[in-house]
Amino acid sequence: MSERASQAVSPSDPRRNPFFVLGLASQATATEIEREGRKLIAQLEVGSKKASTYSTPWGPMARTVDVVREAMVSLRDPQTRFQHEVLLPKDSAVTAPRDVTPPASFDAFEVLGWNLPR
Amino acid sequence: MEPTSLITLLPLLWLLRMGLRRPQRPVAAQLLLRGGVLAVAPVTFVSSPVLGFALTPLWLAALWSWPFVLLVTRFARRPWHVYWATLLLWPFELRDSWRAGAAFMTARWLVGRADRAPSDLAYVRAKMGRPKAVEAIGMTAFGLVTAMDGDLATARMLFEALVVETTEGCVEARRTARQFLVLDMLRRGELEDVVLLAESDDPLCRAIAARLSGRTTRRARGRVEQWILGRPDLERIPFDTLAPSKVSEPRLPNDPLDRAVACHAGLLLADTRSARTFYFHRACETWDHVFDVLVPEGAFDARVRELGIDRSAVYALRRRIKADLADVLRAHWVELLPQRGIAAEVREEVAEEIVADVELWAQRLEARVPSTTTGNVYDWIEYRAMRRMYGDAWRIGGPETRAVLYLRVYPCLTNLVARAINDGFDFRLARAATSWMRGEAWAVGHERSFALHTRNSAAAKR
Repeated sequence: MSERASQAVSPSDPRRNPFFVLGLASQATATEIEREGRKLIAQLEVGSKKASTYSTPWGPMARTVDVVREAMVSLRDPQTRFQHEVLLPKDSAVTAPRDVTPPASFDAFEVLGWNLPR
Repeated sequence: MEPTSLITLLPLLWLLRMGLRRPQRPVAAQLLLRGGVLAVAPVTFVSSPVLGFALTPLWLAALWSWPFVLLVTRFARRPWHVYWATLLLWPFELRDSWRAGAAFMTARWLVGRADRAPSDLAYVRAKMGRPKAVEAIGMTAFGLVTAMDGDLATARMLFEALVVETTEGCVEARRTARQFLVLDMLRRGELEDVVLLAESDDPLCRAIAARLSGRTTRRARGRVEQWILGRPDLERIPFDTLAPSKVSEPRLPNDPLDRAVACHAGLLLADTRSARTFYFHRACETWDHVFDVLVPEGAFDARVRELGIDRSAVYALRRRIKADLADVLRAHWVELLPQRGIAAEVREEVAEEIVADVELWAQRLEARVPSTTTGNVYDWIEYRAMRRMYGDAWRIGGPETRAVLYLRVYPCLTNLVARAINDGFDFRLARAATSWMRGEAWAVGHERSFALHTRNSAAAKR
């Protein structure tokens, strides 16, 4: 799992789009959504490693039972579903600009011997 | 060698090996083993005094991690600067600068210690607290203690005040402030903040800014090397890769809706200020196109009909997009150009919020009871906080917001200046605030505060 997959994300994060979480296309029917959601919850409850991540155009993300439930709830409401459908990137070639932030493990304070609480 | 010495050597060697491996054995077993070895020790002396004497270091090694030795080592690890500073400075207890110096020395030393105790920080607080006019060195000590408490944002404000607002003060204190600012900048990854350093009056700060922004001259490099690059372990800091570069133009989809979604996602996921600015403008443009052109043409009508929902869902979608954009604008500074459509709405909303924040700041400042224990450090913090909010508000809200804000901020700052001069004897704060007010007064055309240019003590006399 990448570093990004483990960090906390806000609900408006495009990586948390319910269609990504459930691994379904935007044309999926309500039955398909329910079936897929229940299947994923069952897999996560028995500790399936395969079900513990899902892929997005920006890399893998952690999938938990709560995230799947939240995705199912938001797709049950047709109005919210409409928003997620519209905001689902169809073209996966969304290329972010060159990342100029230092790697996550790099702490400048630590390098110079400043011991500050994180 | 006599048999008794040979017999005693074996457990000794075994003990040494144990001591090297530092195994976690039960305390009773350790007591038994070490007690046994110590009981046998005199036998070696009896058999051969020379051998016994030669083996003394080994007996001492057997005592290693003995509670008594632990006590001694823990005592040795105490912050000696605290005791030395107390011992050396007690004749000068009445002199503020000496006491602040002790506080700074101790704080600077404690910053690198993992085993600092709350009582050590309390010592620094007691030393830096009493002086009325807190000098640069006391402010640095305060900033370091605040950082050690975990409040990096407040510490950053204090150090910014030291580096950006003033040009004098203890050399070592200013050096520490610069070091903190650069390290904090690197930690946050907000490398665009080098602008802050570039605006400083301090040549060393400008040199660091030049180095980080990739425009390194030979002179600047020499100065930076004196300060930061001279360290042997600095090889580990990837300065060159950290230098902010121009955003490479990403390949965006051709379809207008896909393009808008891609820009929106790019904005929410952007890590740097330049990327955020790029995607913010693109997202605003493309969403305007979607809602001004595609929606009236009925781009979503079929989908809305198929799902059996109200057409207002399209406007709910626009509200959600606006909320996302406002969140980004609130959390991060994004350079705004004259805008229309969704960007103008977002801008207006966020500018109103920041103006309300500044209003709250002014009320808080009026209601505040000046602290007698920490001098006027909090005045500096309040002043920097105001400068930050003010800057954000007028960059987002434009010149009208700037004029409104200045009228609100002017009386509060005048009071702050008066208090700094009369109560705190902090002429640096007074000078910094008045010179900033003078510049703003010219910019917004506030004639009443032009008098500050010539008689900045007029406020103090009232």
